[in-house]
Amino acid sequence: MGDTTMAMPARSTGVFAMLAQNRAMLVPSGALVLLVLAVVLGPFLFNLPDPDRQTLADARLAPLSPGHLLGTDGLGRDVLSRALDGGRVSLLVGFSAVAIGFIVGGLLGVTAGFLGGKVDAVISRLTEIFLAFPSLILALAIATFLGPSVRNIVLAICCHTVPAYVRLARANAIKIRNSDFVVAASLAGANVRYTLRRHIVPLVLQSLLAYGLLATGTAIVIESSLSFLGLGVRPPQSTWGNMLADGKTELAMASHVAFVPAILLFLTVLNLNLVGEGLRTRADRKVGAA
Amino acid sequence: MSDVVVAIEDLHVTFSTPRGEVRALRGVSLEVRAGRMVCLIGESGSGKSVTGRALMGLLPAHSARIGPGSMRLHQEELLGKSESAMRSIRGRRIAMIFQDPSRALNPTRRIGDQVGEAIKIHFPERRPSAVRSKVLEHLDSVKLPDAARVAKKYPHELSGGMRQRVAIAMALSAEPEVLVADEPTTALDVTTQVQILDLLRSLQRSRGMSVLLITHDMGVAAHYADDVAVMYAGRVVERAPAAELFADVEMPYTQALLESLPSARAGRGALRTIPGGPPDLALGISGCAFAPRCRFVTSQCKQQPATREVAGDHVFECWHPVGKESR
Amino acid sequence: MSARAGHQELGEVVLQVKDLRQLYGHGKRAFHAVDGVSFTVFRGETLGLVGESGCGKSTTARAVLGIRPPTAGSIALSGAELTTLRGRALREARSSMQLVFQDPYNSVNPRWTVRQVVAEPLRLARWTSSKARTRVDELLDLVGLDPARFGDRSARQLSGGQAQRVGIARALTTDPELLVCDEAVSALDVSVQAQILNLLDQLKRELSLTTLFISHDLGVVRHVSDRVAVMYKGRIVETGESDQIFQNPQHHYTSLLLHSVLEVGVEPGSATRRPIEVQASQGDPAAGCLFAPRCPGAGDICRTTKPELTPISLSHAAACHFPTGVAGPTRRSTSQ
Repeated sequence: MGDTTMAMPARSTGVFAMLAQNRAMLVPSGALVLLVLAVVLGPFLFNLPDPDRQTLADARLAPLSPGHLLGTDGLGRDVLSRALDGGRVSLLVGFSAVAIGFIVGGLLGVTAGFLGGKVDAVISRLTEIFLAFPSLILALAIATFLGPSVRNIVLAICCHTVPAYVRLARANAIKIRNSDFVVAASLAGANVRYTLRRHIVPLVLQSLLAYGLLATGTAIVIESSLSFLGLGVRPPQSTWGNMLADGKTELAMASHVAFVPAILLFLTVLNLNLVGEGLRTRADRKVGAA
Repeated sequence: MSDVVVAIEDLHVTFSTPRGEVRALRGVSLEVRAGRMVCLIGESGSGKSVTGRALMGLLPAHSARIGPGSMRLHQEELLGKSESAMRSIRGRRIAMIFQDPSRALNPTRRIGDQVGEAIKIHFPERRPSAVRSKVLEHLDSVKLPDAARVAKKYPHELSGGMRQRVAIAMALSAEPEVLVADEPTTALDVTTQVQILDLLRSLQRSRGMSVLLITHDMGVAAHYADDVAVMYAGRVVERAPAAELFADVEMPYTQALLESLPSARAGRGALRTIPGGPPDLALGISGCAFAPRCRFVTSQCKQQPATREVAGDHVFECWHPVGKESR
Repeated sequence: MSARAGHQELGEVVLQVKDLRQLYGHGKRAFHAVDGVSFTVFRGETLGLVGESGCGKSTTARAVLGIRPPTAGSIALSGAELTTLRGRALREARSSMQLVFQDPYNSVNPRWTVRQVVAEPLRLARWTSSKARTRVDELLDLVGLDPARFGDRSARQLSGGQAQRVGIARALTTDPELLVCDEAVSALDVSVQAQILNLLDQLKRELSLTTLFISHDLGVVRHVSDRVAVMYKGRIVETGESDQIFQNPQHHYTSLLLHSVLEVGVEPGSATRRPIEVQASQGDPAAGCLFAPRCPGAGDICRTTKPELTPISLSHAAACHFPTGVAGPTRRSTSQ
C-alpha cells in the first residue's frame, strides 16, 4: 500500500536556481555584483588617474570631460577614480564589521540560546545594553573617543553588528532547540555536540547569512555618516562619506562631486537591502512556519 | 423553502504566489437560506476557508484576484465592492468567527471592554450605561456563567471554549443576518465542541440567523447542518439538504470521505482510503478534478462533468454518481 | 496472531509505569500535570491513551520517553528501571523507545533529505554508511515510499501524509521495543489519516509492534487500540479492552466523551448538559474525584475521597465510586 502522490518537484538548490525562481532578486543581485566588480577591478582595468593627485588647473571639470569620465572635484582630483577607491574602503569597512559581528555575535548568540540559564542571562543583558543605544550615536561616541582611523571605525560599527547578531542567533538557536527533530535526535542518542554540529549551527547559519547583507547596508551607512562628519576615514583617503562632505561645499559650482558618491551609496545600500530581504524571507519560510 | 440570503454563483478566486497563479476557487456555487445552517465541508486545500473569506471581503487585496463570478447578499452584489462599502456590511450584516478565538480578542483588554467596543462600533449612538447592560446581555446569551465576573476578566484567564463564546458574543453584537464560522470548534475539546455547536444552533434558531459553518468534520455536518455543501479542489462538487445527502450520497468523493472515517462505535478493519492526494491548484485542471483518484473514472471524466440535480434539491457534478436517485 | 489479545493471552510486559507524577512549580501552587498514573503495555499490543487537552497524556508520554524526567514514579522498559539511569546507560535504554510526532513537518530538519532523516538514528548508533543505506531503503519501502523517488527529496517538500511516513520510518529504524505515537494523525486530513492508520495497522501485524498511541480522537483510538486508558486532569479514570471501554463505559467522564463524539449515521446520545465549569486553578489537588463538579452521578464521597482504579471485571477497571454499571445511593439529577 504505497503512496502514489507526486511530491512537489524537487527544487534545485544553488545560487543560480534560487535566482531563477525569485525573479525579483535578479536585478538587485546583478547590480550588486556589478558594483562590487567595478569597485574592486575598475581602477586596474581602466587605467584611471591616481585618486589623490591634485591638479588645480583641472579643478571642477564637468562630467564627460576628456580624461575624466565623471569630472573632477575642487582640487582637480578625478571623481570616478575617487569614487571607486572610496567605494572599496566603504565596502571593506562594512564587510569587516559584519564579518566580525557574524563570528563573534553568532557564537555568543548560539551559546546563549542553546545553554540558557545564567549564561543566557548574562549575554542577553550585555547585548541589550548595547542595543539600547541608537547605532549611529553609539558609533559616533566611540569613534570620537578612539579617534578617526579605519580600524576604529570598524570597531565602532561592531558595537552595533555584534549585538544584532547575538540577538538573531539566540532567537534562532532557541527555536531550533525546541523543534521536534532535535527531540527526535536526542531520543536516538544524540548528545550536545552532535545536536549543535548537525542541527543548530547549519540552520542558524542560514539565517545569519541572510541577515549579513542587510547588516552590511547599515554598516556602510554608519561609516559614511562618520566620515561625513570627519570622524571616520581620514583624508586624503577617499570614502563616499568624506566625498559627500567635500561635495557639500561645491554644490553650487560642481554638484557632481556630491551626487556621484550619493548615487553610488544609495544604489549599493538599496540593492543590499533588496537582496537581503529576499534571502531573509526565504530563510524564514524554511525554518519557520511549515 | 425560505428565502435565499447569500447566493454565490460560479465564483473564481486566483492567488498570485511565487510559485505562480493558484486557482483556489474554480467556480463555486452555493446558497445560504434564511434561518438555516449550511455546512461547507472540505479537506485542506479544497477552498472552503477562501470561500468564507471572499464573502467577507477579507482576502488580501494585493495577491488575490476575485472574479469572475458573483456573491450576492440578498440582491446586493458584493463582488467588486470598495473596502469602505464592505466595512459597513462586514460585522453588521455578515459576521465571522474563526478557529482561533484569540485572533478576535485583544490580550491586553478586559472582556467587557472588548464586547463593549464591538457594540459601540455598530451602534455609536448608544449611551455608556446602555452599552454596559448590552454587554452583559450578550455574554448571557452565549451562556457564560456569571457574566459580570467574566466581563472583568482578561482573555488569557478564560478557557478556549469560553473565549470562543466571547468571540461569538462579539460577532453577534451587531445582530447580523449571516454568521460565517470558520472551523470554530476544531481547536476545542470534543466535549466543548458539542456545547459550542449546540449554542450556535440555538442562537441561530432564536434569531432566525443564517450560518455558514466551514468545517472538515463530517460528523459535525451530520448532526448540525440543515444543508451541506462538499468542496473539492476549488469547486462545490455536491450539495443538498443534510438529510438528503447522508441518505443518498451521489459523488464518489463524498462517499469515499465517509468511508475513510474511523468510528468510535463501528468495528475495526482496514479503512477505505482515497489513493493519492489533492491536485496542485497552481496547475490547470481540466475535466473532473477528482478523476485521478476515483474508482469509477472513465475517459468521459476528462470533461468537466455537467451539473445534475436529483430529487430534493440535491445538486452534484459527476458522470458516474453512486447514489440511488441517479440510477 | 490475533491483533486483539485477550487478557489471558497477554504476554510479557514491555512498559510498566507506576505512580508517575509530573509537577510544575512547587509547594501548594504546583500544577499536577500527571497525578499518579500507572499502566502497563504488553508486547505486541497497542495501548491507546485518550483524553482531552490538558489531561496530561502528552506529558505522560514525554516523561516515559525521558524527554522531561518525571517528578516521581517508576518507568520500567522490559524490566529495566529507567528513572535510576543516567548519562550513557540512559541514552542507550531510551533508544529502544521511539516517537512519532504530531507535526510531520516540524519533526524533520528542513534542510535534510528523506534518506538523511531516516538514517539519523543509525548514524548515531554508528552503523556503516552502506548498511545504513540498505536499512533506510528497506524501511522506506515498508512505509510505502519508493526510495528511488523519495529518497533524495527534501523532507519539507513532501505532503503531510508522506512526511508522516518518513517520521514513522525513522522511528522504526532501530527496531524499538516501544513505539510512542503522540497525536500522530491529528494534523492530517481525513483521507490521509486513513492511509496512515492502515499503515500503522499493517506494520503492527508485520513487525509485532508494541505501541503507546496517544490521541484525543476517540474514533482513531478505537480503531487502532487493543486496550485503552482514559485520562482526565492528570489521572487515569478508566482502563480496559477497546470494546469494553467503547461499548460499556463505566466512568461518567468516558460516557460523556463518547456521547460527545459526533459521527455520521449515529444518533448522538443525550450529551450531558452540565453548567459550564469556571476554570478553577489546578494548584489544589482536590482530595476527591476531579470530575465530581461535572458528574451527574456524583455523591458526597466523591468530593472527599479520591477514587482508585478498581476492577469492574477482568481487564476492565474504573476510578469511580459509582461506576455506571453499579447503582449509586445518591445521584444528583441531570439538568438538561
